[in-house]
Amino acid sequence: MRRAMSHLAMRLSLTIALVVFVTVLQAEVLKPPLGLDLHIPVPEANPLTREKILLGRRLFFDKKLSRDGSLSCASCHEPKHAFSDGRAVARGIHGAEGLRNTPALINRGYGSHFFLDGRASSLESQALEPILNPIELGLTQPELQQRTGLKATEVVAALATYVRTIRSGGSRFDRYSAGESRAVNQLEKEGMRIFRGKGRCNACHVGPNFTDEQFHNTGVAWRDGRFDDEGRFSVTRNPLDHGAFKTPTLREIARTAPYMHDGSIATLEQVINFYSDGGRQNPSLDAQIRPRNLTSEEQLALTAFLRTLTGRIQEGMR
Amino acid sequence: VFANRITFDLEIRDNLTGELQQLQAGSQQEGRTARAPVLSPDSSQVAYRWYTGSLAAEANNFRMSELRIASTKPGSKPRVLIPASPQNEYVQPAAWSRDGRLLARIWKNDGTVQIAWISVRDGSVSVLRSLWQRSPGRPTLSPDGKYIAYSALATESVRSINPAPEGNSHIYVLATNGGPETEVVGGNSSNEGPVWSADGNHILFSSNRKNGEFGLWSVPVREGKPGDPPELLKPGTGRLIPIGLTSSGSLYFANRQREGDEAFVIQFSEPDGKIYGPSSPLTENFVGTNRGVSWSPDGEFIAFKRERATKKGTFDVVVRNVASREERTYSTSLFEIGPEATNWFQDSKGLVQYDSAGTYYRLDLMSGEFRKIATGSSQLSYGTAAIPSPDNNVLYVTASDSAIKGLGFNRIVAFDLKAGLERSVFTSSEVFGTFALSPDGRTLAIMSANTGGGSKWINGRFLMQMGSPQPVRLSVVGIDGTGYRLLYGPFPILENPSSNALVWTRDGRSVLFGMSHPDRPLVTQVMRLSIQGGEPRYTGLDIRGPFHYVSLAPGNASIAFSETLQDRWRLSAVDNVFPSRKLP
Repeated sequence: MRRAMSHLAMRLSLTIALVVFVTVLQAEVLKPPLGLDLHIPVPEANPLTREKILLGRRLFFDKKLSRDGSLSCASCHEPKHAFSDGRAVARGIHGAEGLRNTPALINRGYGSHFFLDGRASSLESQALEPILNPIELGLTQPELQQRTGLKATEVVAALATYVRTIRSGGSRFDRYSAGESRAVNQLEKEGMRIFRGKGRCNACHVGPNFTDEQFHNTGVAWRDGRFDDEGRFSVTRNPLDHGAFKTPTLREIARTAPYMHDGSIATLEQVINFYSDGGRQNPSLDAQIRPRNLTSEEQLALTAFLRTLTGRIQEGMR
Repeated sequence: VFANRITFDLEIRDNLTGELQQLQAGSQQEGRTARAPVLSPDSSQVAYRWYTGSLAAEANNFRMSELRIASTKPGSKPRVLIPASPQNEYVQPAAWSRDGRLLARIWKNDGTVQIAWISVRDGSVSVLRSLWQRSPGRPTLSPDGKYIAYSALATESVRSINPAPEGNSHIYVLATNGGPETEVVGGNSSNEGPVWSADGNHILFSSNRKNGEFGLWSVPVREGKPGDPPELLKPGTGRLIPIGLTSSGSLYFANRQREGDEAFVIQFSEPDGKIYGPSSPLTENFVGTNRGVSWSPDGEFIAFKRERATKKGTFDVVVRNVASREERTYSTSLFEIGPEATNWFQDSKGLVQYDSAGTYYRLDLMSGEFRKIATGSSQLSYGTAAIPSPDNNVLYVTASDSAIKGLGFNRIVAFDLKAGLERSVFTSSEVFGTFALSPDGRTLAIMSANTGGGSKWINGRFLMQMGSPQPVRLSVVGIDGTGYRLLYGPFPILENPSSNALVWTRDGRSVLFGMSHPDRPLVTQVMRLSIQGGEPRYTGLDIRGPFHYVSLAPGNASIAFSETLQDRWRLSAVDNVFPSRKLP
């Protein structure tokens, strides 16, 4: 009887220890860099676990996920470019070029719409598409399962889990916001004032991740009297969405050139100049996009402020 | 602990001794004031938002709002935990955790509101959740400290892809370590102000999820997840702000009333003609406007009008049992019930109601039926006031003939309810505001105004705005039209005379009426005047707004009246909010 009790007690303490371990692990994993929310929305069906993070990371960098074994997810979402690729438009297998710029994959765990046109509503629904796209990684679903030895749903769950861990924060802006007054200089503070004031940049670039997760027509896609990419309209068929694209995060913006949905603007200075002039006139131009007439000094200050958003990227278990 | 809205000071009140202590002095002139104080669990400290002055804020182009901590010991100096910053509009504390952290909301200057933990030791911030354009309400901590409940707009209020109907707010439960968040109350409705039950198994909240009318609701919650669907605990509460639930199951809550009338009861002594306060609200149900009070002849009931929460300007008749406090609400599809007072038949079983088209009804309180009792002739327009005679055979109403139609009421007409005939009792060169029948049913007291001079009537109403004193007179006349006698006047009143009350004392020797306060604008002094004439005497009662709809209890022990409110808070408690459940 006593032996049975002792065995029961041991099992109980092992269970408690395991529960405590898992809880502590989750708390460590979830701990964000300075400036981001503790809470990351995680679907109930795909909880964040150490195993999935490690598996997802391995898959993310695995070139087996491309038809010719030449590319992985990380080929376009390179850590050194804040998980973008430095190209105007994405390049897939056999050198095939896509139509849009590779978005930086940082802080996507906080997002609510995925892809530049928002056609996916979760990281899970987004994860498989580039792998199966013939001009990106070009696999079929059976090939994916054969090469990884995993079901497609397991690949999706692991990749989505890993992408949730890719976070950028702890920038000089975040340190300044936390009370470190010398973290930004006078020019950068002036840029911050323009960002919120005359520039009205925060009409769209709001919150800890500097995006409203909404879709706006800035006129970039309007060329020769027509939209060369319909953007959000191709998903919603809503006439208000012609040529509209999702607001990107501004975190790590200095490391993610070239800019805009098609990578058509090479430098931050040119982007600021584009918006200062009121974007490109077209029938669906967003009401927030209008000439701000920033002086060259103001544009310089704004650029300086945007560079303070370069921070430290955490990913995986690190 | 509270921020005094009059002195602008931060004060603490000992509920046992009633002693008040100033923790920090404010200044209206300099714009220095405390907001949203929250007491620590051991009552040793208070966290609060401190607005340091509007002038300084304007000069620096941002809000000068700090988060401060003060000891509750007398004479101690407050500590600035988070200084004013161009990054934040302000930081507002919501709750203390047991381990000495503050749960707070941070309003960022880009419209984002963050729910965050703040270290009381060094002011470091750990943001739990950022919500943009979703106006999260005050978060509350579960008793075990593991979860936070808060309400927020279901979607962003602007430029949302799938915008929720305006005002739709839902209730969310978020793990305090930043873990999972769950929507525990959704739907196409406003769900607000969540508070936890003492055992942490339920969240109480205010909601208009049933028929658009606000009530108190509860949803069971286990490990941050909702159980059964929400359950209505108390209907018709109005839009309330739950403050907290005691371990014995009493819910404390506040209502804010920006405008409208509220009904009160106050003691009245007939021998000396004086009012003895304080007044107390007539009813626990506070939905917006309660007015038009009328005591039943047997003294057992009070009838009044309650504005519907779902349709402004539409009223229901409510009859309250004075002893049991039970209320029954009456409405009809025959016509829209107006806000005016309703008068009792002498049997205390029915009320008179006017339909604005010249027809009078008897509301039978047992059956709830509205039965037509009299219809006016096409030559006359009729007023809303209708008073049954003591034998219930005659209905006295005000009327205007075609010559004066549109200028006001200059006649009193008696309907013989049995014979179905009407006869003119009295016609005046002045217009009548209100009138009252003496307890013996033989004399009418009348409040009237001259149509000439400064007073101009259009469609039965003075053109002058509320707040402009209106000169009126008081007089009496027999029900046979003889014995007219001026009692007092002219004297000023607030607003239209037709919405000012005139009440006989039960001994038939005096009338009570309102007169504009000589010094305080928008305030009425309640006066008592002997039926023999002479100068009126002040009863000691001042009310805000006109002397609306007043009624004396049989025996003259109490007066029920309604008062015009302007931005008023009411603190209430409901005991045993879970009557069907055993509380720990």
